[in-house]
Amino acid sequence: MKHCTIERAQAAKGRVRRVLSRKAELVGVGITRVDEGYGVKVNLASPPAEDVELPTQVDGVPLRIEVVGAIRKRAVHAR
Amino acid sequence: MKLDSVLALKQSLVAEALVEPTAVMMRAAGEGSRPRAPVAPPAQGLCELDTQPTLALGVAPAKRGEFSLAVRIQQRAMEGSRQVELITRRARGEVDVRYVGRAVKRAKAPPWRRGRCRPLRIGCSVGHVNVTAGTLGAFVRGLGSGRECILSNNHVLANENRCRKGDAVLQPGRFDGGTAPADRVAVLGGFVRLYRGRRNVVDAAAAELLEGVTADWAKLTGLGSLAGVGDVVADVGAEVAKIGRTTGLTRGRVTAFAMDNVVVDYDMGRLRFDDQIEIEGSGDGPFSDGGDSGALIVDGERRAVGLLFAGTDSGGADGKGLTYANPIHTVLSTMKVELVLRPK
Repeated sequence: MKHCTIERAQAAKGRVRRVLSRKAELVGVGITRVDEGYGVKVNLASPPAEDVELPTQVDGVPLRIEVVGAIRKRAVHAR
Repeated sequence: MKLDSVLALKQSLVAEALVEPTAVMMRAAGEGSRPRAPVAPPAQGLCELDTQPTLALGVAPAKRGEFSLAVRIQQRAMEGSRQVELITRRARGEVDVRYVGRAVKRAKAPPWRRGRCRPLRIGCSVGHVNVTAGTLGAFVRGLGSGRECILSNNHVLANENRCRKGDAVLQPGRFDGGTAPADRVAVLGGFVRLYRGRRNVVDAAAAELLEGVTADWAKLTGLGSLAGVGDVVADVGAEVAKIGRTTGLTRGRVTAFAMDNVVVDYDMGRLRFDDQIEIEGSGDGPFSDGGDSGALIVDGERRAVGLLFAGTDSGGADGKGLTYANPIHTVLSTMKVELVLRPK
């Protein structure tokens, strides 16, 4: 399979966001390395519902989906 | 003595000697006989009333599986004192008496980053007078006054827009004991406003150093010297490092870039950031934690690539969390400042 270029991955970000945001809570959509080429990394705040199936690629661009949890500012927070 | 006998004797001596020997100890220490208000004694030993340590009792191993009463003397004046003689008699000579001096706690001193740091250094605790604490990222110049400034996040130096130009910036930050005016090192000079409901690209602010406040402009403690600004795009896999107020010097690698729709929890709500850098740690712990906000992220050649502002507690290859940073080129161009590597 031909590796995806950084330009194709960049161009696919918007569509990935539109497709995935209907299925899960997105907290980040960026460019990452996939094998020797590039792909789109999709960060989720929480796992998708059990009956939701997420795509592994969009428009031929491979996806790397990760549940990262809540993202917080990194100031000191009293614990 | 058998172990039970030593323990019983110890208990008995503690019960008997806690109050009465006070005057003896005070006289022995040459502090006069003026009575002092009693305080709760420690659970072990004869140390009493005064804050000065005196004697401690315990159990020491002796020959043939036997035990003796351990007497540990914490003041020279107590050696050969009436009290030690009394204890020795009560133990029928089965004592192990040693001068050990004053015992001090072995608590780890807080790292330099969280204390008062003069000259100022990249990586130390800093914060707006109403903010807990964050990290001093770097020194910059160009806010109009020509003065050198501290670069960090809006949420560290400008309290998420709840600020006025000229507000005090403390080093160390308030959470680390900084107070105004004693620890005031700079005043808020400029910041990029944070917005709800629309995209943000940086969380950045700069505070002008006060007259007479000195700095180690480019020192990256444990790494060398800051070498300038790095490439516009930090590619995936690039090795990076940072010095933060909380986790100190840590290393990691870029896992994604040009990341849009990064949704971050702030006091003011959930804010969206576009075009961010994502990093995972490559050491034993996370790349960052609360208090590291504002830290400068540098590449393998010690060139600035990002300004740390957010993170997660999970995710990443090691599961220890991911860190997010504004690209430093965007920070500097948006703030209209340049890095300072040496004084004018």
